[in-house]
Amino acid sequence: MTGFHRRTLLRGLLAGAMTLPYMRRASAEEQAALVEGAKKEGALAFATSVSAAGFPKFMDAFKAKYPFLDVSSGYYSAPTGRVLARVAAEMSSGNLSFDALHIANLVPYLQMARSGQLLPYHSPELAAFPEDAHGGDFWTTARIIGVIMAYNKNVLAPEKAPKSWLDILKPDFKGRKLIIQDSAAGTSFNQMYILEKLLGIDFMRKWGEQKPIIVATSAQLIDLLVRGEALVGATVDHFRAFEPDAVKAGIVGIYPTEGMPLALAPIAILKGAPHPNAAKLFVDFTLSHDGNTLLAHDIFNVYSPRRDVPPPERQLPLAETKPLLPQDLADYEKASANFPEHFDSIFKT
Amino acid sequence: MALRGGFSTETAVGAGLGAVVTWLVILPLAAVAIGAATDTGGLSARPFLDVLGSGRIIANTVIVGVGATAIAVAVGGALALTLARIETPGRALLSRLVTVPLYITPLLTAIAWSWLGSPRGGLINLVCRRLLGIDSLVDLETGGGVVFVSALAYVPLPFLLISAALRSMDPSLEESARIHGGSTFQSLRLVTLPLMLPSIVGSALLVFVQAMGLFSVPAVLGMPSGFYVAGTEIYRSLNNFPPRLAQAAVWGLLLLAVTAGLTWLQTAFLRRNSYATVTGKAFRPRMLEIGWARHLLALFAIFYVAVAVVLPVATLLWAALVNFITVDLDLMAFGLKHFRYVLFEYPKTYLAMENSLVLGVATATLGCALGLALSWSIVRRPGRLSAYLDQVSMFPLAVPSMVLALGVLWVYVRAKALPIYGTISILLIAYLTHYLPIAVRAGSGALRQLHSELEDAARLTGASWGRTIRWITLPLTRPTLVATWSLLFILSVQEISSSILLYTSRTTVLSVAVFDLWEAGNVNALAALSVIQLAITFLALLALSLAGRREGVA
Amino acid sequence: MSAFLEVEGLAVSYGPIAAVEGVAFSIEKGEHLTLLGPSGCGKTTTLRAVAGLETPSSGRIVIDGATILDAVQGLSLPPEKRGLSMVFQSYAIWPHMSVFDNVGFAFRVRGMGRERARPAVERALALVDLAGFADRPASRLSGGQQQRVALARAIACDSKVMLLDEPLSNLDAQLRIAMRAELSDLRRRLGMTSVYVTHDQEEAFALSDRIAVMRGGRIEQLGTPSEIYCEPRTRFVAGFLGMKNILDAEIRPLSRESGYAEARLAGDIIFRARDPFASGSAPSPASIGFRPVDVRLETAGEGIAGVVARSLFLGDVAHYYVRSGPIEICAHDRPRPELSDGREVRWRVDPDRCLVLRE
Repeated sequence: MTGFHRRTLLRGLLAGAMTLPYMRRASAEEQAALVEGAKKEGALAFATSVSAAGFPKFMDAFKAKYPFLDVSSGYYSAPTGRVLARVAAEMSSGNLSFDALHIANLVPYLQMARSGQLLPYHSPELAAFPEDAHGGDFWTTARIIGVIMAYNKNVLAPEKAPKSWLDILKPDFKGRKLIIQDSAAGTSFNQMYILEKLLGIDFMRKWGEQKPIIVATSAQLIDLLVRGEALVGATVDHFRAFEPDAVKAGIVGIYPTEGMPLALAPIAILKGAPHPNAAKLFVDFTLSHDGNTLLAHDIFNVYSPRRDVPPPERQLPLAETKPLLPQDLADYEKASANFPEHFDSIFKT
Repeated sequence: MALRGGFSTETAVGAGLGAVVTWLVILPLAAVAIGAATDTGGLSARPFLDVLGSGRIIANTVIVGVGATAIAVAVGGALALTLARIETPGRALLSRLVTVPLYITPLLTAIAWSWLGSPRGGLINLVCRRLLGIDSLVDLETGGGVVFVSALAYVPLPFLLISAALRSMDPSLEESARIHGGSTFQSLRLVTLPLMLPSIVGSALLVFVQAMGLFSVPAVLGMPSGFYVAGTEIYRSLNNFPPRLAQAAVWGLLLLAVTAGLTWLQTAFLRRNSYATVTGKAFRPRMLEIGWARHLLALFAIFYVAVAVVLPVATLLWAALVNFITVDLDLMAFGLKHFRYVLFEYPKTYLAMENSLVLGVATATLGCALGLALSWSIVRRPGRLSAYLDQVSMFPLAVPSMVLALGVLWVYVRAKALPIYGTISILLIAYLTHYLPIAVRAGSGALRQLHSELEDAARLTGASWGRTIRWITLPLTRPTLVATWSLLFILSVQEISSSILLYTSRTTVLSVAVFDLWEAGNVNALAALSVIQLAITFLALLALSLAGRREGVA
Repeated sequence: MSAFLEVEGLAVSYGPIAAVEGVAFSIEKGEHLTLLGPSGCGKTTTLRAVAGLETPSSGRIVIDGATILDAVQGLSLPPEKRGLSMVFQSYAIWPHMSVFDNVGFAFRVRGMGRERARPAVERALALVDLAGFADRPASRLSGGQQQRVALARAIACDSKVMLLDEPLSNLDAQLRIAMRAELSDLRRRLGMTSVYVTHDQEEAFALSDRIAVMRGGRIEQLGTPSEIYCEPRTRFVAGFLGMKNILDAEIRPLSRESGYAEARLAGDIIFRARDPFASGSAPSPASIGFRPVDVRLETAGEGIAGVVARSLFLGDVAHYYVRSGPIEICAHDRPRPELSDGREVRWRVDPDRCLVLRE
């Protein structure tokens, strides 16, 4: 059992919402049938909110395993909101071009599973995942991302850097000295929802009054920190702060004392996917020991729910970060629906 | 309408044109209006209330619209005077350089200026800090920065229109003012300026319409500091989860109401006072003598070119070639690794280039064909149909391109039967609609110069209407067609406002790829890709000017 | 007594092309001088140089004792300081102003208000028969009305010299003739000193005190209408003023009759002609010229033998082209049916109507 406290929450969800198709392991014939089917389909269209420069390596590894699949033409990466908007628009017009979805926000998966927009698939790899890491056969958490703070030690003296979330309210950080991610980013929502529950709406309002710089992605955020455009990044995907290039440029990650809000990044297959067999192979690969290690550990340095994947290098083990998760999933879902307006009301000038 | 004795190719084509224009232009505009009034689940006023409550954003949009227009018209008009009426040294070359920003998408200028002018790490500030010890000298990531960079991009439009008007004014109007006692300045103020009013107002309106719906510049320079405008709101509404389609439509409708309303006002105002100074004669305009001050004016023009073209392009080029961003001369090292990355590793490069080129060729070709067909109908067969075609094909001038794209999105996202949504065709439709006025204007101009007697002579000797067009009209309008084709091609290759709403992973284009890289914080690759996009544009420009010279076009 | 307007040694060039060279003339106060010539002769350029709209490369211009141009000293007053007025060929009426503002412009730019301008404006408008038009927008005027407004504007400002650049050439034939008379009348009444440019010989004769015939940027002859009509000095001036028959001849002075000479034409035809500018007594090659209207045609009798080559019937008058050996002449007469094509005729010209032309 990994040190993660979702068990109670998800069990509640599972009990309430979904029917579980019966679980079984796939046989070798089924595996061969999948490969045959994928051969005929010839391509995989993957939509993700991941924009790391290293991601192509993952796709390349998948392609190396199944060279007959074209993985690049259908590949789409954009901030979470954009990806979802596009998927939703395509689905509603019956023109779906994507097969698999991997974004750093749990709520869309919950909603899509409920409205039958996900294709259930019991991957043989699920055996290696704790039960609460997946929503039945609909989605499985492939990565766990924590949201922390970061600063550039060449620009800000370490003693002046914030130590806790409350520290970012200090007057030192007022007026475009903080950077946060836009509401369209999945990690924004997770972090801000949890912090609002933990520290209250006053905290959020005061945070808004600090007038932070708003960017679209965490990569952009780090870039601005490196260039010295701001002092502290307040919505940082934890792995970004520990990337070798960032560290070399002087970035230092901060684990805030109150805790590290977690964002789950599940993977799922969309109902109506044009290449369902290829999609299943992809999910298998993503959740497999090798694939998931490559994804979560090698490329991204994030946490993985899979038991046999090593924890990220140069970072605190998950248990020591004081991970924070939403308590009331129904409230969590509702908040997600209103998040763009809520974000605007706090941070927009 | 001239009687043609029943059904003929002509009537069929005319009706077809009416249908095409209605489909291209009216449909998306209607869709925006309908979309604005429906929330999920039917008619609702909530989106309206939400939008109208965002007073700050409306104010920002107006600031950008009015500010960019005022500056662009002032600078453009001053440049027009400087380069068309004053013996400014180097004015032939400067006249061409000043129009270059037309061919560079404001997205690139904005990105370059964000690197130059960001308050702490901007290159200008870094250099100033080192040399002069001044901390943040400039901060372009503000509303002011948005206005400044937008104005830079729009200057060529008033410059071209006002220069043309200055050159087509009968110089004796000014001369008689001078002889009867008016000084140079007085005759400029009392005679020339009032007569330039139509071109000043016309160009101001064109700029205002585009500035109100601008997306790329506010997205780059405004969003980081929370300075949002209508264009970025449309973008954000569509790119959030869940997407707020109705709200985007309301913003679109709001913009449409303002810009269309003003355009209608302008036509009404100018129709009342017709200042017919254009006689069709070519004049040699009278040069204003202002002595040594003309060297200052040359510097002014050079300064504009430097700030609007040279500095941004040089910055992009530098960022593409430098191994990593630093102003420390000791650490600066150059290489081609970013180009290598963009050309050989970044998966979107070739797809984006291919799509941009295909779209460019398709838009230019179809646009020219449609434009010529429409203008033939408008010029040669005046009547109710041609008045309709004339007016409707000019509508897109009064609508920001993002709003048009929104309408196009709306129409085709629901039309499941047609395989248009999510394909490259939807981009083509948006581009065609956006650039239709240019094609029609150019075609009309060419056809008006081509006397109808030349065509009539052909008809009288027995050539059918189709043959006449093929053998007489087309060859004689070729120079204009070539120029228009090239212009449409260049504009398509750098289009962003429509593309950002309508593209999919398979139909991404160059500007969108650049924007993606910007959002991903990949500065160097972004610079390399922009340089490639600029190179394509300039090659096309070169080809155009060479072809133009061959055809004998000035 | 020096003249009111003096132009000396004026030269204007556009790059390597000399548009005007060595032009000089002077006008008395109240006099009307016309610059007459075909298009491209430099008449408009000369006028514009006087106005200050062209920059001469050399020359001197003095108006009412004040030097407004002296190329040697580098002095050239800008147009607004020369105290002139001008009527343009295209009228140059400002469409965005009212008639009043057009006519009273000179007052406005000198800082004088509408009330100061009103008397002059209304007087000028009355003089051109446009009383009551003061408040009409200028964009709503017909061509003829625009021309009058242009005239009114030139009158109202009480300038020293009025310049007119082919002001009647855009009017139709009937209107032109009517306006010509009015213009002449007006000018005399007001005593305006004016310089006028036209290519129309009739117009020049009707309006001018003196005429300067120009060609190739130079003045070929300057004189009163009758002077240049009766005694053109050059072949060009003669031809331009209607002396259509210009024939090469060898001139031999007649010692007995000074002022006359004998001209031997091709084909051994001998003429007697007036030679008012005779110089020297040796025979010299030159030309003789005479007007078609001065040719007397007979079917028989005295005169040079010839044949009617072709004829043109024009209503009141007929043109007959008569060939005598190597030369062909043109004769105007009332239509005479007996002078059919191919008819043998005899023609002669009174020596007084025949002129020796040397240049």
